[in-house]
Amino acid sequence: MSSEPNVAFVASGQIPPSAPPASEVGPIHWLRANLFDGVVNSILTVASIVAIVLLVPPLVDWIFIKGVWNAGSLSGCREVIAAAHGEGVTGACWAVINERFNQLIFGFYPSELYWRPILAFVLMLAALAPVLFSTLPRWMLWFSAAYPIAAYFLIWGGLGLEVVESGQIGGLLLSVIIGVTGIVASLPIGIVLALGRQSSMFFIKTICVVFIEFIRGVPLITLLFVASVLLNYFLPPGTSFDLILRVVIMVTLFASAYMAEVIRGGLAALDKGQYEAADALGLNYWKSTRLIILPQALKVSIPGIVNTFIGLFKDTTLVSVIGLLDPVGLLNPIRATAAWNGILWELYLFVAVLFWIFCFSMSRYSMYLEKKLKTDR
Amino acid sequence: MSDSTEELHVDQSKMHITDEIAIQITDMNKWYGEFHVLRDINLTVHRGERIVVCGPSGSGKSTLIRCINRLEEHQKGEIVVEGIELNSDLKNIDKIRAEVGMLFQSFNLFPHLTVLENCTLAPIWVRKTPKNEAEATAMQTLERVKIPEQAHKYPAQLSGGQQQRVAIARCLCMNPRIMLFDEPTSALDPEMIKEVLDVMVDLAEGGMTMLVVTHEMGFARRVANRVMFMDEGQIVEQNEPEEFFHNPQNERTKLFLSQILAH
Amino acid sequence: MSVTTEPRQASFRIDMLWTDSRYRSTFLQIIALIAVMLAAFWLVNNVAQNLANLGKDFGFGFMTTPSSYDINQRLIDYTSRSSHSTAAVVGLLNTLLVAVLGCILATFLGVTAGVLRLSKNWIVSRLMTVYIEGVRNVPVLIQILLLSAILDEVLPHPKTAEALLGGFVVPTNRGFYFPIPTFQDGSLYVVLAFIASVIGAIWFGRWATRRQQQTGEHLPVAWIKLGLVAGVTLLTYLVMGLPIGLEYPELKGFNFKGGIYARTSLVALTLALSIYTGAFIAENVRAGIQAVSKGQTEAAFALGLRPSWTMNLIILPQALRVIIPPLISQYLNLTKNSSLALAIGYMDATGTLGGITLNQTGHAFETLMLLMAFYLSISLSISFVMNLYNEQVKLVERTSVAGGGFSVLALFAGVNGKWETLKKGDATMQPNYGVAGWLNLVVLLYGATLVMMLYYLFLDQSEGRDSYYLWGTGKQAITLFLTVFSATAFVTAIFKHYRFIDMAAAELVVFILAVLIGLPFGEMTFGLLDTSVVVFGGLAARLATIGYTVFGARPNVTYFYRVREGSGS
Repeated sequence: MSSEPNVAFVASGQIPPSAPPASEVGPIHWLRANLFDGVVNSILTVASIVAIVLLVPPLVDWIFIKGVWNAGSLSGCREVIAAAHGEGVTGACWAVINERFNQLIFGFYPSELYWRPILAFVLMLAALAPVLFSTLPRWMLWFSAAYPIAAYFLIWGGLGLEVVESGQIGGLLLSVIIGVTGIVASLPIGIVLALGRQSSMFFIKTICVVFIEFIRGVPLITLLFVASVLLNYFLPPGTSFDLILRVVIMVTLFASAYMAEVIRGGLAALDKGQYEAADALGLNYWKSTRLIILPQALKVSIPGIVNTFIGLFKDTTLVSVIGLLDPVGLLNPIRATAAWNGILWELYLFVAVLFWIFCFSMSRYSMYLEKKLKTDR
Repeated sequence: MSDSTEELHVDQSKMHITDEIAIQITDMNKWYGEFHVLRDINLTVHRGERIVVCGPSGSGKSTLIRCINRLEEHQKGEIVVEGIELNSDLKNIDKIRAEVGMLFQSFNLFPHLTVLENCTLAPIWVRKTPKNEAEATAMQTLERVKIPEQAHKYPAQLSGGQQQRVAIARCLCMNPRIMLFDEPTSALDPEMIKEVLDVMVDLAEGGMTMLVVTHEMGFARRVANRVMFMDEGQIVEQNEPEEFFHNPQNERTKLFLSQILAH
Repeated sequence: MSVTTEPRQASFRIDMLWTDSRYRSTFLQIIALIAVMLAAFWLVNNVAQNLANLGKDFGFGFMTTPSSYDINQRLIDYTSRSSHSTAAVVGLLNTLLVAVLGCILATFLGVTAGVLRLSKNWIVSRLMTVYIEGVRNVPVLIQILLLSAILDEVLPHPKTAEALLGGFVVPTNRGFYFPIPTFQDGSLYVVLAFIASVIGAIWFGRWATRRQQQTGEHLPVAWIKLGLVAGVTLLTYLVMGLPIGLEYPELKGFNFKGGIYARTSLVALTLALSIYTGAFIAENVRAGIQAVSKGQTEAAFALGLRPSWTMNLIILPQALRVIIPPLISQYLNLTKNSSLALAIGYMDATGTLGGITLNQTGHAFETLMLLMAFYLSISLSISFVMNLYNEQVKLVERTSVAGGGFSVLALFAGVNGKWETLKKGDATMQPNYGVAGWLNLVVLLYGATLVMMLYYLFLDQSEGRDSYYLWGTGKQAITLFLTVFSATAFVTAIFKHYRFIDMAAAELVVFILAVLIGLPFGEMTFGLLDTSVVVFGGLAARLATIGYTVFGARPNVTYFYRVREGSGS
């Protein structure tokens, strides 16, 4: 737009503010306009207030006021509550979380080696930084490329580090491993599938469509069954993969189908003129895809990719069904111990809140990106 | 038409046409499905010629110039550009595209690259020019189109006229022998049309072979050496601008000119 | 088109495989094909070797052996002596049951929450935000487990259970009991009265519309309709002496007997899935309503429409087009998520086929293949419906046919379209209703043929007929060919433009051969039609289709009226 305003009619000053009529301001007006605007709205308001009053105070009371953080067992919890608030009073027994916190986060990972997954997590953030922020120096991408190998040895051991068995890995650590590996590995496959689906070559297009629609048409759990009972059949006789690896393979295939659809949306959002301009300059298919098409399509797809990741991260809880010990898979073993037999709400609530924090913050991030993209264009 | 072309400073003496043939089109035909867009096109363009193509919308004029660098495929006949025949051989297509620059109505700059990167991309990846050299050339070219100070901005930060001048610079960086213009000023606000036309005049004075699809009749009068009228996929009439505008032969041309020059 | 001379080309050299655009794509595709075939061969070979090493065989024979496990929530007869295939069917039906109940409930929850979230009422919209954001970001498996655990803990034992909602439901920790309607003599009249009054109400609605068009007067149509239906039905009900009653579940011994029984796991699963999916639907509904621009509302207000009319006439029709596609894919997600039933012991398809049957028989390949095929067919049918809807909406937008809503009937409209308009050139310019309608019927014909043949060949086990496996080779081959050709013609007609006529022509030859060999076509149609009717009808239909499309015209119409986009310069 033109930036030189040489217009004759420009306001010389601002109109001074003046107070609106009293009926248009103040809490009474706000209540009238927002809560008691008509009969239906008033009923809804009253019903909502009643529901809040009935639900919230007892919950707060149960969670915070009567909650117990230090006890050795469920009966211990009950004794503490009885001593503090009298017989027959119920309260949350957070002591179970307190005692089993490490287990819910790391599974049965040896406690003296906790520094290794923590270090791997910190390094992961460092490896993601140059991918997310293009202002950082380019050599950091080499670190990002080397990160998966480093993370593998940090978590499983080897190269002089003490070896940790797959069976010992569990808890949130396992969810993060499966989720992050799945999403990262699915990105290149998803790109290839999306490009293939756009291809004018009938056979290549068909392969991609069949793969994508097949994966999207079946529930993840059936693919996890494939991982747990079938995948080894497909390998040459004598070879067999670790269960976590097999799950990661299937989760990657699962995510790549969804990723392909997200990226396809990004490709479709591109103006046809971009392809034509690249052609007219003499760039061939691969060069124009790499230099012109993908950078733009991927940028548009980022919110979708984050949403796919949220979905995948939530879906990692399904591995508990085939016997892996992610946070959900750990609940029953904990509830089966003598000390915590009969505990229910606290564990589920804790795991739910754990996932909620991760997913909610990521979904806010993706919304922020979406807004930013809209203003960028 | 618009007044923007009235003040164009054109030095006809700098433009000269040689005998060498830049583009040779023989009996070319094209269909979209069953729609016969181009019929029996015959056209010879000599090096240094400035041809303006005009005609009603849907007459096939855009399609014609898009066939010359294979953005559209022709089904019948022959197109030879700079001695290279345009057929299904991808190597020939790549060679021709490197020699032929193209301007679009909607600029089609790459929004994720800066102005400078837009200009250096093709030299680096197609011509394999070293990056420093490509950047130096790009800066010179940007000076030629009079926007060197915008080199590190992104296309979205520029005005329409500036964007189209960047698009011209992007083509020039490939050092093309022929330039195709597909309605380069149609998407521009009136006050920006002149700045783009000025650059095009400058190109013409530099001896560039140009094929221009446009409704800017002022430009056609002053710069073109030949004006071509197309209708229903055929070249109806072509002549020198003076003759074309003052003494059109064909009825359809007369009708078209009376409509377009009426305002 | 009539191309006589192609652009001049050099003679073929080997490097033209990858430098010439005429050969390159074919060459690349052949390479891809070879790579895919090699990979498939490698995988199949590995599987065969592994199976052989373990001494396992591949086959579906185990599906007919007794399952020897119990399923305690079922819609059809089943005992532990029934076969694995019956168990699988019980599981499939249970999946469908949860899916249907869940979709209805989720739609209700989602639409309510989505509309309320946009409400001006501050408290209500905040509450809905808490629901949506709270539920959306927690894995559905945790919600299912939690809800199931809550129901198990909180609900009373049947001994101490009390009926709620006036006896409409008895929640216990063994399950939920609902009353079942009973029909005595005369209930037929009540049902008939109900149907008649509904038809009357519809007729009244049309009459009111006509009247409005003539006189401009608005009647309280909705109230009159409601009164008509409720009044007439209730009156008949009373006159006939209350013939329809409810049988309430009763406590007998340690458990309730009678009524409809739903296990806690079914209730928990349905509730959890619909609460979870409802949150997503709410977001879709909100986005859909917001997508209809504010300008539309203002334009409607400026015309003087009342807010309620604005909603009904302007906002909803437009919002629905935005809402329905994501809504359908949420239904699909709910159906797929219902496989988590496994975690709380509800015996759906995953629990029977992929759970106990797999573990008992060890036939992991076969059971998982069946399971995936089942889910795939559900998803593909749902996507098919969605595509139909999208095509319909596009059609409406392009041809601006009044009405706007989706109806399956509209796809068949125009079967009687003008035949003389079906010339070649027209089709590129306008959708060709006559041909499209005719094609719709043909596709239906092929679909029906296919279903009947598959049923007859592999499922029908009525007395006195030879199994397919006992037939002679010739008869076996002919019927198999016929099935395959019908299937291919069906699929091509739906998905692949106009080419299906080629398949249909080939199928016709096989059809005639089958007639000559004396195939019992009458039996194939569930015995509904005489063989001669099927043979002559089928022949006539096929010949008409082929002849018409070959000699009449080959317009660019597909099953969905999709017209090839012709783009000008």
